[in-house]
Amino acid sequence: MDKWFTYIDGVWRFNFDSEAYLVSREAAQQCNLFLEDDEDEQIDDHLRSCYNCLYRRWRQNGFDCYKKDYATKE
Amino acid sequence: MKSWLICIDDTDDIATKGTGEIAEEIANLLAQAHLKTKANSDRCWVTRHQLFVHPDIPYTSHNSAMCFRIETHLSVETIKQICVTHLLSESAAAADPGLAILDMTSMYDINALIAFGQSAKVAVKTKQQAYELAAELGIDLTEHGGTGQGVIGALAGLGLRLSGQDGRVKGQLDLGNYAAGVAAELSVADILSMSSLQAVLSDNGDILAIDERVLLSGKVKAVYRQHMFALLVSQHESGWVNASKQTLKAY
Repeated sequence: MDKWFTYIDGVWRFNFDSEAYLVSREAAQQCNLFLEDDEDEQIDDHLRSCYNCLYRRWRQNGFDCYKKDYATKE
Repeated sequence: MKSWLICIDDTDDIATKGTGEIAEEIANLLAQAHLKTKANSDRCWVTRHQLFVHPDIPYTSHNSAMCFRIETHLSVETIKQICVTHLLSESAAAADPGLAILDMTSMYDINALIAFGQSAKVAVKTKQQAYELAAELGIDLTEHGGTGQGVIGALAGLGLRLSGQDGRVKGQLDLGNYAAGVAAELSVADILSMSSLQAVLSDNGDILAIDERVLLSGKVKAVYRQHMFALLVSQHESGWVNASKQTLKAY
């Protein structure tokens, strides 16, 4: 998990910007809590991507994950 | 019959009905009310307008406003009553909904409204600024719960739609027999006749000729550019393909 996110003020901050599609897909693939956002808010053609997730909140250059109990399949 | 531009913002919360869906529902309710007195109604396109993402702005997850145009005999009082009733019924409890209604036949400073919209994409605006401009331009701007912060985006969305150069169209295009799972090559003429779009545009802004061919795959979405609802396409090898979500992100 630390590979993709850093825990700051109660949210998981993505360690990359909004153009890191491969990393975003890799992180979502390992997440049990991925839930796709409204199709109009998706920005990655690959569905299972944190960029398409309901629980991501965009920042100016990246996003935070608002699922507090973020968990991995590990 | 008058033309109205209606925009809403900040109606949702994580895991609740999205602002785009609520906008589409309001557009349908208005169309139904209109049809009680009129035989037909044109298709209503809801456009999504991206606003500024900044720590000082209390958006839910992406900060976008949803706007649509409707032509109707309905009075402004009826239009507003339908909008407000639905907003109050469908907005999330934690939301701060705003509603803007513009009579497009009125005399208003379009440039000032567009400038406000464009500014709201790159700077933090205040409710006071939004209300002052709305009053000056004669726009019906109201808040319906929470902090009412959504009035900023609602007003900005009107301006961005009027600019003719902003926004993605909500939903996917219905292109006859084309199914998202199966790639198909269509001519621009076919795409226009099947979709009621006005153009097929390259991501460089060029309008494709009607005999050009486009390979469609996946979900097909439109944008609002050059005052037209258009399919956005990108060059791929020697031909054209519908734009990816990664490309559409900038619209």
